[in-house]
Amino acid sequence: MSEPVELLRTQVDLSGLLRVLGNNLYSTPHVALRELVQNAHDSCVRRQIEDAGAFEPAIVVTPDPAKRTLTILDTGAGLTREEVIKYLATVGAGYTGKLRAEGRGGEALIGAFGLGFLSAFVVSERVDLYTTSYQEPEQGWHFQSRGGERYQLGPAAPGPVGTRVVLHLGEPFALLASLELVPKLLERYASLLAFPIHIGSRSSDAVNRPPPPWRIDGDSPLLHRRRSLEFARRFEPRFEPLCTFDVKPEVAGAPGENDVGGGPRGLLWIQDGATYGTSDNRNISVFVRGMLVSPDERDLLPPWAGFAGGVIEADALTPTASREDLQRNTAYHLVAGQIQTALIEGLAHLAENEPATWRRVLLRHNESLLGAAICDPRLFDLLAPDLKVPTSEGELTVPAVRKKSGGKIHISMGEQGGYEEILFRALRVPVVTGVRYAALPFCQAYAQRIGGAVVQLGTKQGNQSLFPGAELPDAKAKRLRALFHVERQEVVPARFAPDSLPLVLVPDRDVLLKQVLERDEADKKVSTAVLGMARLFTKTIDAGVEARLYVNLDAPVIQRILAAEGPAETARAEQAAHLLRGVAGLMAGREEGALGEVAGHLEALSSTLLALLGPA
Amino acid sequence: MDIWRWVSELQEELTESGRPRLAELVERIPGCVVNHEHAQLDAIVPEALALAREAKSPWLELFIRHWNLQSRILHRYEAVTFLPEAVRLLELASHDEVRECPQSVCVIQDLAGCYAELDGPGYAPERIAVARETLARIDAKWPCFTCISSEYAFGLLDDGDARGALAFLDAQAVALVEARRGAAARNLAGARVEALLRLDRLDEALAEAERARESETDVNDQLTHALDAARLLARLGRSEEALRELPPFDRILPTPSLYERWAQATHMLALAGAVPNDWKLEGRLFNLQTKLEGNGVIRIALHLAHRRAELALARERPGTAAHAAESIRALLPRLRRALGADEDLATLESAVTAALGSAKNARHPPGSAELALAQLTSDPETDLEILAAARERFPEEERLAIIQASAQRALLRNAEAEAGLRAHLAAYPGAHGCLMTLGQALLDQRRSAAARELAESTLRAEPRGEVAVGAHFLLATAYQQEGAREKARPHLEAMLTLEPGNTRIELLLASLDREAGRLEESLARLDRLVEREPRPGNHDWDRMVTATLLGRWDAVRASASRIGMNLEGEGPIEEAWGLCRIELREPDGEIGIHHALRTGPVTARILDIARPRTPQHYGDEIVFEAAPRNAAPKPGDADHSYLYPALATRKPGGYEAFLLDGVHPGEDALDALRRELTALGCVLAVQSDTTYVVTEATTGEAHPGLFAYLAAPASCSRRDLHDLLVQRAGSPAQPLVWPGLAQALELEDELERQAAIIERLDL
Repeated sequence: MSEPVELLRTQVDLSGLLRVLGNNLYSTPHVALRELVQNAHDSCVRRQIEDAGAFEPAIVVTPDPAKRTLTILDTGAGLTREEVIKYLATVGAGYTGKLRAEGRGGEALIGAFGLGFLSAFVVSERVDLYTTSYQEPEQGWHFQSRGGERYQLGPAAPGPVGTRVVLHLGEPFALLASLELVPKLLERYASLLAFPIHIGSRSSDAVNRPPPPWRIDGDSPLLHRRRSLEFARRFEPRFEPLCTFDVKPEVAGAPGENDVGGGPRGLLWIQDGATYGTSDNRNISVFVRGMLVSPDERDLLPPWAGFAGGVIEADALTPTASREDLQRNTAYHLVAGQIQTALIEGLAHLAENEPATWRRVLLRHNESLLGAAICDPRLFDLLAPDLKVPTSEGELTVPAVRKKSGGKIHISMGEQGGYEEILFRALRVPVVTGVRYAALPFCQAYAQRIGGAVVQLGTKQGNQSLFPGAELPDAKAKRLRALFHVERQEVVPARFAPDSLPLVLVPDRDVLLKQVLERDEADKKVSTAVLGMARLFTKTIDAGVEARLYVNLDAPVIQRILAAEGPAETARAEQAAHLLRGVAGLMAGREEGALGEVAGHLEALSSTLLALLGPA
Repeated sequence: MDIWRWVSELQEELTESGRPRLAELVERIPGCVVNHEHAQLDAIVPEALALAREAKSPWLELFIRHWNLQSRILHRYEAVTFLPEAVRLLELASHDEVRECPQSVCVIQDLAGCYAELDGPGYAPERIAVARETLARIDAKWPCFTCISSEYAFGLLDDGDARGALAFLDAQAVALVEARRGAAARNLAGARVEALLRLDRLDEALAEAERARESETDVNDQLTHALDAARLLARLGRSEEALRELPPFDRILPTPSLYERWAQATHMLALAGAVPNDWKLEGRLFNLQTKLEGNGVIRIALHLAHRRAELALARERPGTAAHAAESIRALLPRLRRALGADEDLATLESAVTAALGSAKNARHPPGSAELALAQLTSDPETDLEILAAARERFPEEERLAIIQASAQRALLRNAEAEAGLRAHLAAYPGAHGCLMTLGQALLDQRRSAAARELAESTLRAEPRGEVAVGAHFLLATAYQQEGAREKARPHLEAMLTLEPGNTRIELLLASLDREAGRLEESLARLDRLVEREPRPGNHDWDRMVTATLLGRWDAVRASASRIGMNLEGEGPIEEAWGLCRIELREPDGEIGIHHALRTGPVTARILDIARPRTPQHYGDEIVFEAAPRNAAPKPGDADHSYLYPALATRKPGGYEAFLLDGVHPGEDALDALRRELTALGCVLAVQSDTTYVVTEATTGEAHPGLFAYLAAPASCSRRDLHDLLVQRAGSPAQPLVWPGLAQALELEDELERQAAIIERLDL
């Protein structure tokens, strides 16, 4: 061998760059494997483009735990001495970048930054590279470096055309020589690469075979489904996939003004594990030009899909410099929109065609789906009849709730429930537990999109709906007021169910608020200008009515009281009215800002009962 | 005090004290707010609030309610709806137990935000006073310093003092540096951009907006900054760049706080010809204006109306400009202070009058309704101008009224479309087309009460004829929508009286009767229909359903034969037509899908044994809806079976199920057991396969296992079944257990014996 071995220096401040790479750009050492396999793959692509001779493209990755080495061999183009110096040791000048800049190689080329090889130094104590170029198959080269900053380059015996990289791994990165881990990593990282990648020897089965299901044509639906589940399992870290949906660029999203091409293809799946409404187990693996860029790009899935996973390839997406993340540009949002559409269409297809699996999805993810449904009208229409909401009568679908409530949907928000709520419970009319995840907005959306009225117990609108006002002849109305009127309260003749409930007393919360904020003490607690602003609002509240007493004209007892004639009957009716008022007052006393006079109501009750019992 | 440190400490505390759910929700809430995940926030807030109250944590309650208001007020501009809540929260924040809460100052921002939205300039003095007073209470170390400072600056801006606002913001930035919180000055960027823009220092404003983008972290920031860049670039005449920045309409639509910026950018781009200045843009802007008006956000709605008018004048659509001016006139009294808005309107109105004048001269009123219709274009703005003139001349023409409403709807003027149709109906109560167009629109909007009211008033005016049929149809549909199907009935009957022989209505009535249990009436109606209709059809299928429910097998056979199914014999039909699946709805609304044997045209018997303690349908005789849920099989699809929705259970199977678990007794013994069970009327369904193995807990010895459901009919006594199992099922060496049955019989000793086996075999 006539060529001398030379000691050369790389052309940038590598120590600084490697520190950056080690600390920031490459958060996991696995990335070194990805980068080197990608280089090997690019090298095969290059040979296909440049070398007219026949060759069989292949990559062989050999972990050796005993020697703590990881070897990556390819049958690609190989490098000449000049190329080693120019492309390998010069940061930012990756050969594939050059090819792409010339418009050659197209989509098959992955490398873009020329930084890939450097990641080898992050994980290695020493890197050996043996290469023989197709341009001079009679001459081999051996590159060797520790740390990457300086390297030796000398001639070597010519081998078969291609490159062999041997990483002598540093102690902390010994895992990269693991016989278990490396195949697993490659199954994920390299599963979309075109050329076969073997472990140990070319006679072993390629880890990236078969190709992803969406690249296989002509499968029967059943086989496609099985293949897709199998493929999904490789990528879903936490759950068994329950079913999969295809993401196809031609159906995903509407092509139109924002179409940028390179749309997503791949798979989405629903996880087979029960979720809470707020569980977020989203994960999506994203491949760009065949290489896994990000194993957890959850934001590409809609925020409501905490139960879904996916794997897609989308060349429209742009990796960031570290190639572990994606740029959040227009294409990113567009792809996210297409994935959302694919997920919704997939669910719709499932509901239509696979009722048993659909049931399982509903069962597993009922609560999450309640939250999801209110985020997207398409999803809502699909899910609305089948999702269950929590109610006082157990979990029920909204149609079941409506069936038991005369078409209405009663909702309790917990702390405000008055005794009408207790009564509903007694009558076994289901009351939706509005304080549970998504229950209230789901029911509201149901009423708005499908039908039925939401009656929120304990609110002004709820009361108006529960206790609808009723007309009464003037004389009767006057009589009613005379029997039940209390200062600063309004007597409202109404008709409502059940007729065993004669009166409901509801305090006006706004009036209570007005009273508090317009009191002088408020000046001490709240600053002047702020209080002034708050009073702009309280001034608009009519303070005349502190509470409303709804009198049920359908209640037999009220009908009797109103029908009373003659002095004796009238006296008894007045006593009964007095008694009822006391009870209504006591019941209302449970509520916030109680009308206070519990003692007064008790006294009324007691005196009426005494009168009824007559003298001792 | 640092609010985020408090939140993070609180989360740890909640997790440790066994409230991890609340901790999780507290973490999610601010993220939902700033990322515009409005629906998710609404899903979380009630639960979080209830949990905070349960945990008796008023601080946390304040935190949750404040963040809810940030979303409702600051982002969604629901100023009117949430003003009472903002005042209530302010009142809560004044309580002693929350005065120290770091979030207690922030509620002032919520309240001030409401008034800024109602009428920013109108309430500027009050807002400035509130911010000034609050700033006096805090210093630059407080995290809310930048929020309140922005409020103050925006107050000054709305008061017309952009120079003062900018100087103030500079001073606040210095104060932040002095307090070693210089980085927080980025939170003032929004106000700075606005101040610079109003001072026409556009390049500086753009630079400020670009700087702000470097630190953007959430969707709200991203969209706001993109819109700022877009409107500034548009103002600078750099349309192409502006267009690249402008977020798509769909992304801003859910968040009204972005509307004005979007409108500003789009307005300038449209005038520059970079986006089409057309009726679609008018529709979008009017939609935004309507939403703001609905929320009580008057000043900004008025700004949008001005933009609409200017754009309409630019594209020579004076009718639209007049429409915008009219809406401004309606909005003016809702402003706190006019502050020149009335003069602006006067200027606009004179421009509109001039434009209308020249347009009128150019257009001749049509000579007939037909001519007017022939003049219509595909541009709803132009059409409205043609239609307005035509309607004035031919007010009785119903077609014109309907087309006018549809043009109005294309421009998203839904309220006007409705009002126009109502007015026409009031004048011409027989206008059937108007009634149906309007009624259907109301039903589509789920306003069933309004639809009913409309139909009832029509009926009062026109109790007969086509329009009455339409009114009854609307009433029936409205009741149906409300879930009150029984109330639909008299209207269907009325329709039938007015339109005798309408098969569709008869079928509906028959199904209503069937649902209400009036089977005889239902069948009689269907019999009449079948007699009348020479061809077989839905009436025959419906008749078979009702007749099956009544056990009128002759009627079933008659209709079956009309359809082409010849059923031999008489009495109950008991065919074996192969497997199908039945979709059964439980009372809780849950749907189950069961394998079944189809026994007749509309009947099947369930074959699946459900596991114990779930609703049991084994042996149920089901009457199903004749139309299957799924499509016919494709060629070669061997797994296909039809799925039918169940309508009723004709005869319950009456089975109850128990578990049988333990060591497999061997196939012969199992067959023998099965025979004896069959003799009792019971069914054994083995669920396990050869992979099921049970293991002796002590020795580790493995046995082939058996896991089966045992369905027993009501006719079989539990005691007999138990006795049979004791005798025949298993031996001490190969034991089986049936704890559910033993439990049902309350056999204490037996339960103990089985418990020992369960433990021994680790079942």
